[in-house]
Amino acid sequence: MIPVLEITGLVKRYGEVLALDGCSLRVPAGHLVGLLGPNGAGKTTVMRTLFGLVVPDSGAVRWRGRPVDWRCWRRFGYMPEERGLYPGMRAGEQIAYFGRLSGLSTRAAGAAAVRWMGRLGLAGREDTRIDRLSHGNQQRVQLAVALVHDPDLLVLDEPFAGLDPIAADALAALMHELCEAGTTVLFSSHQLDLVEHLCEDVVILDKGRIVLAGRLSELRARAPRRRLEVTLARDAGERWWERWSLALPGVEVVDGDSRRVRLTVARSVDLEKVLTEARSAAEVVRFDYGPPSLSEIFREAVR
Amino acid sequence: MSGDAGRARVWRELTLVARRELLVRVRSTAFRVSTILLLAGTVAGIAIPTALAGGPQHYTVAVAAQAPPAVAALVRADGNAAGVPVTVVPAADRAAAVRSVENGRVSAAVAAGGEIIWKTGPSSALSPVLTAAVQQAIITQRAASLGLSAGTIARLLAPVRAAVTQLHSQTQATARKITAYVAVILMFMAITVYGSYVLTGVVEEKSSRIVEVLLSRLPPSSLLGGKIAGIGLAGLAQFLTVAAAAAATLLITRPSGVPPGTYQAIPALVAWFMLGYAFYSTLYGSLGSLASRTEDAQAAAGPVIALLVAIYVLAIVAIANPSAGWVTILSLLPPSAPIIMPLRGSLVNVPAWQTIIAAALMLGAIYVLLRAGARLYRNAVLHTGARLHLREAWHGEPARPQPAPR
Repeated sequence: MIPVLEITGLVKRYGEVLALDGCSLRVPAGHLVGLLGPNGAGKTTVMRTLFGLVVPDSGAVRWRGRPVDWRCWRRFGYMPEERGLYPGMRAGEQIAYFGRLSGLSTRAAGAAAVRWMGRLGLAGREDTRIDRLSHGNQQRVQLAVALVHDPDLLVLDEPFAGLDPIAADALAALMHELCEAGTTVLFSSHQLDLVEHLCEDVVILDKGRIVLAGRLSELRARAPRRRLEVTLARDAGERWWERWSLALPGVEVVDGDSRRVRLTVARSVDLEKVLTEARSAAEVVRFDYGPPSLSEIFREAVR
Repeated sequence: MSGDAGRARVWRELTLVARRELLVRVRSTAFRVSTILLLAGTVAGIAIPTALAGGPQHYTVAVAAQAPPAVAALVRADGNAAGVPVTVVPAADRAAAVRSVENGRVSAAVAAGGEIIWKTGPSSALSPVLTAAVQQAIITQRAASLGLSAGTIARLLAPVRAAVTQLHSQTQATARKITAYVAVILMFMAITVYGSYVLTGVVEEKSSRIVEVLLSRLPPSSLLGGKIAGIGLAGLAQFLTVAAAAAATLLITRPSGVPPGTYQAIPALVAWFMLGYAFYSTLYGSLGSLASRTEDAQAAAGPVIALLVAIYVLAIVAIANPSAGWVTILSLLPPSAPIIMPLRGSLVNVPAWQTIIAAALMLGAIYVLLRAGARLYRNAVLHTGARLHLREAWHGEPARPQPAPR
């Protein structure tokens, strides 16, 4: 797969703080990539370097093999985490203005504004001032601003923050449609369950470094540890697992109660042994073994 | 190739940003109200003093039938010669003339024997006209009774043109000083008002966070430059509207005592406004980018305001002594030239080379300032939180606690 977006060895230092510490990333065309990481990991800084908003101390950002410049930025769309609009401007006018800034003609920008407002459920609000729109509708206008010029690369910083579940589903569906139409989408999020269902590619960033990247299915398959949940038929007393779990190498307890325990186990662990030990406490009604969830991979990666 | 494409792109960005800024200002209620107030103030400021000062006022004089012959014609002629238009109305007799003066229908009356009748006291403009006309009429009468021919009398009484030289015209010097004051105040106000539009515009974009979306599509220099140009054009439109209203009012009311060169000074004033505005709005804009909130904006722009006020005070002092050496120096140097140079221009003759040097220095300073301002703006505009210090913004580092001194 030939990557359209290539980030190599990004380093950015702010005083004593190392915001990016040799961050590299490759994104194939038309992929939907979730950028994950704890607060302060450098997600926003990475996104800003794509647009030249942050100039890295070293490293490069390439789009279709060439260093990014204004020709690319015209074809990129960006919705920053901290959203902003001109409060006194009319919605349609504002979206069209950003279309013009990205190189559309007056007529094309006006038509695109109407088209995107219709698609995002804002039809008929073209002449409403931004500060008269509801919070949810202002977010839609922000999305329309990022999309008005039909960008090749769409970068969304925490796009799901503050959305209700229905709006979040609608946004997820839109992101899928865009990818199917060939747009490359990079977004950051803290809502790992949502990301798990939304995208195939994830990148986990921690302390300015990419600690894990790839197809989610591969990452899960490749994960060194497995998730294991054991449920008993009846109460077996406080910390019933401690007697055997400490004795078995490669077994770690996440949490549990008198009938249930959640563990992570190394792939080398003999499951038969675990099952036998559990049975010695009480009848086992559920023995659920499998690859880790995204949040488990995430916790493991940024530990 | 790519250079041309780059220039075309920058031009496009600048015009788009400038157009938006211009439209936003012109559509805003604050702009419309301030334009109307300025227009009203300017028209009233010119028309009311002119009306009060009397200017070319029109007089009506009653001439009784018994007054010396030809006095009516002489009053009209002398009045015209003195620039005091007089209408003469006939009165049947002295009593009728007195009644007209009494009820204010006429300003004065002339009766038998050249008697001049005033209601309270002689008017300074009309009195010399009437006195001269009466004297001329009576002298003509006496000369005729002495047997002089009409031609001889005409030659004898031909007007004497006495040459008058005013070494120092007091009224004109005062008028020039007033013009200078008006120029200084206008310039100071225009630069402060439009400059602070740029300041609030920059801080609003920063505090509403829209600036990040903007800067993902265009470079900071285009954003700052377009903003300065757009607000400047709105300011210029307002300035020109007011200047046109001032010129029209002057043409209609024709006040006396407008010093020569006032009308020609207006284009120079507009040119200096553009240079001064470009300089100070760049300062306002780049310092404004150091603030994150509207409340911090005035503090961030403090140095510019202090500089402008200092120049304003110096300008007021300079009006009293426009030929001093320090005034000449200040009129050449960039920060003070836009205010001091028009001031000198309205008081003394400024050699052309000085104007050219001042304008060239100003253009150079604007160029340097735009480069430096764009750098500050680029580094500061995405910074949020506490107000940035100038040094940090210049080096592109966010505010960090300083290490404790050892």
